[in-house]
Formats: sequence, structure tokens, C-alpha cells
Amino acid sequence: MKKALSKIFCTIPRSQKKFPYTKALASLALGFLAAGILVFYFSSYSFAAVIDFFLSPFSSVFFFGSMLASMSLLLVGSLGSSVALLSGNYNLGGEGQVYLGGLITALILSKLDIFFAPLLAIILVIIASALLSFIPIILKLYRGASELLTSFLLSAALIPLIDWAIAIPLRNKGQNLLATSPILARFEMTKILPPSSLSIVFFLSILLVFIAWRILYRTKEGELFRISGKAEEFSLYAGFKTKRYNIIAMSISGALHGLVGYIAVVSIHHTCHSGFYLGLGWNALSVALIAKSYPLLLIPASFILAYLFSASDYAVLFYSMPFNASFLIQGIVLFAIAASHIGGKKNG
Amino acid sequence: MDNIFTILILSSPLLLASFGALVSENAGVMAVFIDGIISLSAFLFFSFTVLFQNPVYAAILTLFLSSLLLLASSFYATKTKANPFLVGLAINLLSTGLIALFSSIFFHTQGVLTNHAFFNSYTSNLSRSWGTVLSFALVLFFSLFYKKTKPGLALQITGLESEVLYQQGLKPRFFRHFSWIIASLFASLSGILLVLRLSSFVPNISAGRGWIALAIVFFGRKKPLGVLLAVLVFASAEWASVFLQNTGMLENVSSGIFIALPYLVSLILFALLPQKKQ
Repeated sequence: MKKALSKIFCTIPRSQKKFPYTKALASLALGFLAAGILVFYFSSYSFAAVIDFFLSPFSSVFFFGSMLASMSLLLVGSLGSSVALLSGNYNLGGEGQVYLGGLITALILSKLDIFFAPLLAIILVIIASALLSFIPIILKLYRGASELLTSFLLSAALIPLIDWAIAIPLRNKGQNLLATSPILARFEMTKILPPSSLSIVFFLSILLVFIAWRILYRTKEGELFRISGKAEEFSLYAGFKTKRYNIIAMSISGALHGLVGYIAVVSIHHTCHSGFYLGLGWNALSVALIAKSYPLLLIPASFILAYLFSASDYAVLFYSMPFNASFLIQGIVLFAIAASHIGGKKNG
Repeated sequence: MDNIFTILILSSPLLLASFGALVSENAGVMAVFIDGIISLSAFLFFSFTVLFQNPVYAAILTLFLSSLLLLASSFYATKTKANPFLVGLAINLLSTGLIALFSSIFFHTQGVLTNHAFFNSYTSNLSRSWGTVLSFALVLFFSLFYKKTKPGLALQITGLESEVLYQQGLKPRFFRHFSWIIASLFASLSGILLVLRLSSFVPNISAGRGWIALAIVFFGRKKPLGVLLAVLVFASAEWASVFLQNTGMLENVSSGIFIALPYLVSLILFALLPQKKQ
């Protein structure tokens, strides 16, 4: 067992002899501390409430299942962010890609009552969301425009358009919620831990991470890809297909974010409602940065963040916390992670 | 002539934000934090005005606090060798979170905040006239400082030629911190101007101006005059869309397109303008 584990983890980059994840763990600890302080304040200084807050994701089948369902979204999204980071790029358009993926899924699965509809939806989602990150990388490679800005701008431009589409032409007039028509019941993912929305997607997302790890860390092409992301100039001189790697990595990154939208619609929301994407892109990026883009570490990192955000949702519901602390926690965690993610070879 | 004045009035918050972004960009750090600082400063200015019943004190306190926040962030980024881009993103997220937190605690809402005693048509008109004049005067004054003085020149070359600063016995690190303070001051003034102009605080009051400012810096070739011209082009586009909306020519066009327009224009500019290839 020990040998097997060391075989898996020996590939973690170890530039220093020190444990390389201290700062990442510290950033998570800060996130927990901030959440705890907020709950303490809003529960009128009750320590019992703080303890209850931290135990809440395990307090019922519903909360536990919901936490794991959120984890599967973070896992797929963070894998997308990691692939981009490993190629030396940032994909900051995750939220728009998730939203577009969700919209396409909802439109197809609510209207098209054929056996292959889910497959068709997945293909279209992959193409459309991959295109959203393909454009920024092309602009970077051929026009010198920073993909940080262009991926964000493209997403920021798309989100209000989708908001408008959901609110007016595509809105399901039969309900008060700003949402498209629900997907057909036969396309909803079967719940494996009812009443929570946990589905088989959870296991598929873990499998996807293992496949990605296998490709990136156990194949020659994967190794060349990682070297090209770390040392671009060396790769160019060595004749690696650096441009191709960049384009493929960013397109995969966008496609995976789009898949997050697909998963969210078929397994959790069953419709595309206004703003369902909120936080998914940034949280996925945070998970990828905490795990230093190492695929296997995305699993514990996404579990911890999913746990933190599920507990925050619980606090909003049960401790009259008048606002969702997600942005604050995201900010604190990202602020701390920034210190462990030094420089950035192209974007520092 | 009226239209030209309208364009100048529309341009002033963006002009301030863009000059802040310019200083930081030339000092070697893309000012991703501008958007968050505009919104946070707008909120702080509104809150302090209501709290102290004095807009002048409120403005001074807002400028001081936002500078302090960015100075601390700059020190943090330098000391920990953190990725400044991620620090900037974190500042944006923190700003959103802090506004939601304090708005809930002090105003019991996360929506639009109004106070007619301090924010009314009189202050709005004042900000349009004097606010615009002062914004342009400040930018002119700063451009002279930036172009004609030693510290200004040092600020300009901190990003690309930090070795030269070393040889002159100057510390690039000091100028990098200084650039963040200047950027925060400009961004805060932009936020204050927006609150006065709207006579209220609106969530996401920056409306992407921080990101557009980043695009403008590249569009303006990282030069003060270029930035000024780029801001005027953007403001003219904004005026044209408002004008067309008011005349009913675009009444069938979705509101989503108007919200998306600044981002789309920035993106197109990035795509069209040749930049130094990496």
C-alpha cells in the first residue's frame, strides 16, 4: 500500500524539501476561520452555533449528499482550470463557460425527446464552451493579447446576454423563477442518496480526474505537455508543439467548464436558472491553485471547499446570516493562495 | 457642443480609473484590482457620508482606507512573492464580499442605498460639472508629474527597466508600492464620482469599468495622451448607445447587449490592436 501510494505521489513537483502545500493549507484554514467568525457574529456569539456550522454538512443525508454533489462540480471545473494552468495559461472565463453549458443543456433536453439528446447536448456543450476558451488562446498566440483578460472579457460579455435570454425569450412563463423550461424527467440523473441531488456523476468525476492524472503524469505526451507549460522557451528550442499544446489545453479547459454546466443542470437544477453559475468558475480556479494543478490533489481540495461552502449555505438557512458569505470566503482563500502560487511564468 | 460636454461628463469616472490602471501597468503590475476598488470605495464613501454627515471627511477617509488596503496588499504580494494578478482577483472578490457583509449589517439590505439629505439632484449636478472639471484637471496635473518629474519617470520605467532604477540608486520595490497607492487613489475617486453622479450606491456600481480601464491602457499604448484619447472614444461609444436608445432606434435590441457592450468593445480592441507577442 505504502509503495503504491509513493508511486502515485512521487510525481508531485518537489522543488523544495519542505512540505509544498503548507500555504495552500493555511489559505484553507483562513477560509474556515473567516466562516467561523461570521457564524459566531451572526448567531449572537454562540459557540454551539459555530460547532453546529462545522458539523452541518454531516448532519443529514441531504446536506451530506448535496456537499458531494457540489464537490463533483468543483472537481470537473478545477480539472479544467488545472489543465489550463499546466499549459502556462489562465482560463478566467469559467463562469461564462459553465453558464453557456447549462443553457445549451437545458434547451436541448427540454425540447428534444429522443434517446440521443443527452449525447447531442454534451457534444454541443463541449464545442461551444471550448470555443469560448479557444478564442482567447488564439488571440494570445497570434495577436499577443493576454488570455487572462480576453477569457474574462468574453465570459463577462456572454453572461448578461444569457441572463437576458433566460429572462425574456427563453423564459418558462409558467413559473415565477427566472429559468428556462425544465428538462424532460427522463433526462434527469437518478439520485443515489435521496433527497439530495447526489448522482453517479460524483463517481464519474473522480474517474475523470484519475484518467487525466494518468494521461498527464504517466504518458510521454503528457510529460511533454507539462514541460512545455513550465518552460516555454526550452520547449520551443526543443521543437515541442507548444502552440498546439496551448490551444488544446485551453479548449479542454473550456469544454470541462461547459461540462460543469451540463452536470449542474441534469443532476442538480433540472433547468437553467438565472445565475446558477455564480462562484463555480472562481471556486474551480481556487481548487486548482490549492492543489497546485496536480490532478489527484484536486479530490481532497474540492472536498474541503465543497464542505466549507455547504456549511456556509447551512448558516444562511439556519442562523439568519443575512448574506451569502461565499464571495468573502473565496476572496480570503484566493488572497492566501496567491502567496503559494508564486509569479506565474507568463502572467506574473 | 452640448454633446461634447455630455461625452466629457460621461468619460470622467473611466478616465480616473484608466489613469490608475496606467500607472500600475507601467510599474509592472496589471491593475486587476481597479474594478473591486471602484465598488468598495463607492460603498465606503456612501457609508461614511451617512455616518459622519460630512461628504468631505467621508471622501478623505475613503481615499485613506483604500490606499491602505492596496499598500498592505502590495507589501503582502512583495513579501510573499505572491502572484500579483491573483492578489488583484482576490481584492475584487473580497470587495464584493465586504460590501455585502457591511451593507447587510449597517443598512439591512444588499440592494440600492439612498440618502436624499446628502445624495440628491444638487450633488449630482455638482459632480457632473465640477466633478468633471476636477477629474480632467487632476489627470492633466498627474500627466505633467508623470512626464516631467524624476519620480514620475521612475514610476514609468519601474516595470520594464527596473535595472536602470537600481543603477540610479532607486528602489523599484518602493515605486511599485507607490504605483498601487496612486492606482487606488484614482480608482477611489472614480467610485466617489459614480456615487455622487447616481445619487445612490448601486451594487456592482463599477459596471466593469475597471476591466475596461485595463483594455484602455493597452488601447492607449500605455501613454497618458493615448489613454485620454481612448477614454474619449469609449465615452463617445457610450453616449452613442444612450442616444440611440433614447431616440427609440434600438428599442428592439436586448438590454443584455447594452450590458455586454463595454466588455465586447474591450475584447474587440484587444483582438484588433497588435500587441507585443509573448
